[in-house]
Amino acid sequence: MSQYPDFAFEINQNEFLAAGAREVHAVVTLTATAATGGGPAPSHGGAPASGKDNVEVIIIDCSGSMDYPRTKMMAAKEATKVAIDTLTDGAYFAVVAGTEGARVVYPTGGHLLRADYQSRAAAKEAVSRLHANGGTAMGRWLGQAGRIFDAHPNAIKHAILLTDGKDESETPADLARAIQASIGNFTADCRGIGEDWEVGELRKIADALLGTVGIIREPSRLAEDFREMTANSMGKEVADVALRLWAPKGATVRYVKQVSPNLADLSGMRVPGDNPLTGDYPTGAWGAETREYHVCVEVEPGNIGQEKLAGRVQLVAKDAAGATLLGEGKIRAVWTEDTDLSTRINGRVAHYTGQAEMAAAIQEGLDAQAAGDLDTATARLGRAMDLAVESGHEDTVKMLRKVTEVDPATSKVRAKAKVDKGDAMELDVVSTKTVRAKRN
Amino acid sequence: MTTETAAQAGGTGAGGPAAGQEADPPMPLQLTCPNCGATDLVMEQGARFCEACGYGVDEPVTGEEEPSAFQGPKPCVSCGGTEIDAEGYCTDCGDLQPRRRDRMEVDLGVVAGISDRGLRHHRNEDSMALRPALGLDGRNLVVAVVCDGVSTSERPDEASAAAVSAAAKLLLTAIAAGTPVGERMPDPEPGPAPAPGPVETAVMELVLPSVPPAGDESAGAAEAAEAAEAAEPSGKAGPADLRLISRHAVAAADQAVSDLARDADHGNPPACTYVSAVVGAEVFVAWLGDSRAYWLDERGTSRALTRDDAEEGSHAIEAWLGADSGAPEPHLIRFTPDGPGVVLVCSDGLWNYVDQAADLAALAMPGAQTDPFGAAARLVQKALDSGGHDNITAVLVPYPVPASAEPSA
Repeated sequence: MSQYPDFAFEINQNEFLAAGAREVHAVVTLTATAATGGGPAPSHGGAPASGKDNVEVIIIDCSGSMDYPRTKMMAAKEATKVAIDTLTDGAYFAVVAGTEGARVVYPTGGHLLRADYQSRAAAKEAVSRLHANGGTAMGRWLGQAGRIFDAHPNAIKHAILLTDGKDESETPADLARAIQASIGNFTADCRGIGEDWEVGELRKIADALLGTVGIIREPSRLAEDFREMTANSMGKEVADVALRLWAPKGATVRYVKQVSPNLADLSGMRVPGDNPLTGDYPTGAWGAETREYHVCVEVEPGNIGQEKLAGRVQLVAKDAAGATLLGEGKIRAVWTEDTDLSTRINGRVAHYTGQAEMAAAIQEGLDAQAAGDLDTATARLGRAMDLAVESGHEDTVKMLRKVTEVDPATSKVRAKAKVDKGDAMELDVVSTKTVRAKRN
Repeated sequence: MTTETAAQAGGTGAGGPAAGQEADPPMPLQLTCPNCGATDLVMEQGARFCEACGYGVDEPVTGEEEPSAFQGPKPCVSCGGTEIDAEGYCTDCGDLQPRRRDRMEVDLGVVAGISDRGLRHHRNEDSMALRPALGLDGRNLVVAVVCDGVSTSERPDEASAAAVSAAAKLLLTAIAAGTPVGERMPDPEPGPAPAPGPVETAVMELVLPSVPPAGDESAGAAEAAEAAEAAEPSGKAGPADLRLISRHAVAAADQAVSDLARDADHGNPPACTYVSAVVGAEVFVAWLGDSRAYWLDERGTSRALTRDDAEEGSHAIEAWLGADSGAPEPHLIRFTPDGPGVVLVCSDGLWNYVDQAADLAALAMPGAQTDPFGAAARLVQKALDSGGHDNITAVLVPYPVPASAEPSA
């Protein structure tokens, strides 16, 4: 029996290209089912997954602003305790208090302890004593987490990072260096509470560490969010999985993007694969879940009738043995004069192309709106509204309505001159969430 | 141009040396084994297997055979890369390697052919079969057959493959076995030639379909050949009657294609054209449909040897092989070259682009006489460069056919 989940591999594309066409698009759908036969991510109390060690580090912003209003710090403590209770029995864990420095508040003995009745109680006691006082240096928080994880190199390593403000106690370069040092060591989900943090800053961390960004506008909602993130992390069964993409000699990989459940461009994370024509794109840890990737390869056009392998996608688990192949699929290109074939756009490729365009339109529209360029904001947010309605993205439609209004003269959507900051942040955060393509 | 008359040519059958052969001293016929590549395979009476690898040398070669262990892995046709994955993709450039039928290449030295899918069709529906054979009189003969599957019929690729194999096998067996003396076809009566009269020349003769042994069309030749083989030691069989066996080869091919028909063919059973050439001192050509044979030389006497069974300028052929063919009588031509040249047997994928014999000769000659494979490649490339709208097949037989080292007759 495999120590790894079973992966179902599906590739959707229109392999037919017009004469001279170079760009080949495909959506790769990967569905992992637990090797142990379990369903979706196991919740609290589930058995430890397939003998793998999980390590969870919870980083709580303890800067002074967390007390304004006090509900933020109270919610953070409560949510952290919920997360501790959600840990699988036997998982290693730590709690870090983040300020201009990063202090490990649990455990204090220098090495990690497994979650059990006693360690949970001691950790929750330490969390109760947290207080807000200091600055914000997320790079140092990540560095501290990295040192904790270093003692468990082969475990499934995940951090939760909560902040309420900007990274103002260090330079952007400090943060960038810390993010770079964390890549490949652990994954992280980031949450911002209140409206004084920067979506772009947290997105940089989350994208690099293959996690998500979330906004907590209501402190009371934080605990449920922490529970979900922890349960999700505990459900991971394989730590370090990469998409290995072979492309033919002379081809250019235009991009490799995760497109579901959220958008994340992996193109810049390529590391050399097992031969000069392959590159590995990290996808982090996997539990029982489905993710989709949009791959675009530019190849030398072939003759009419020629078929070319434009890409071979493999999923490999990087482990002590080196790399274990979990599945593979082919991206093909066939040049044809039949325009009925070559002009057809694969439904799934079209869907995720639209989702990516929607995300870009939202982010550009919000930037223009913040800068007071209402014409651009109206054009971009209007386009985003069309795409959101078209794809049935109801959350996004709702949030777009908060930053736009209907012009009574033209009955068309236009950007509001003044918007609630939280509404704009929430829309920004949700812009990279995608809806799954319907089955073709 | 030779003054030999049709009657004289017909009367001597595959016997007496032709003008071209007298000009060249007899050379041993050296064959390249299609399996192991051994080049010292000397054709001898009764030699049926390659001395080097044991490959049966009386089987027609079509280019569709499994590559033998003696031939290393083929490099990528696009980039020359040496590693092809299990699914047929080059691991360097990713190009899917052609299926074997997409480009069939045969180079036997004394005859060579290439059959190519072309650029527009998704499969190659042409087939070819070729091979030299040694007659009972110790003379070497070369057999070349090309068939072009009818695209509107079901499984035309299978039709052409079955036809060339059946016809070439019959021709090769019948040449090796000879024709019993009593079964020779009478020479055609002199008189007005009925249509289609292909070309008006002293050295070409339309062989009338006279005296078809009614009833035993398809089985006749094979039986005759077997009988002849059995009877051979007693000396009753003579050199094969090429006219007789050419006719029987068409009947055998027609039967083989007819046998492919199924109930589910919706009234379009597998069908194909046919053209064969048996080249010795003379050239015997049989055909149905619009596949052609040409004589190419450097003396300005290149010519088409066949006339299409189709309306001028149309591809609607009027005769073919297959279950719905109505057992057609093939056109038969005997041609006696008056000097060196090559016989080209081809499908319309080639002549659609180069129709005139002189133009084909300009492309193929003089190289075709010493390197028929290289010349076939040039002809096929010309069709590809011109658009490659159809499958392209070209088989070239240099004339005169080299004689055996020690003629046994």
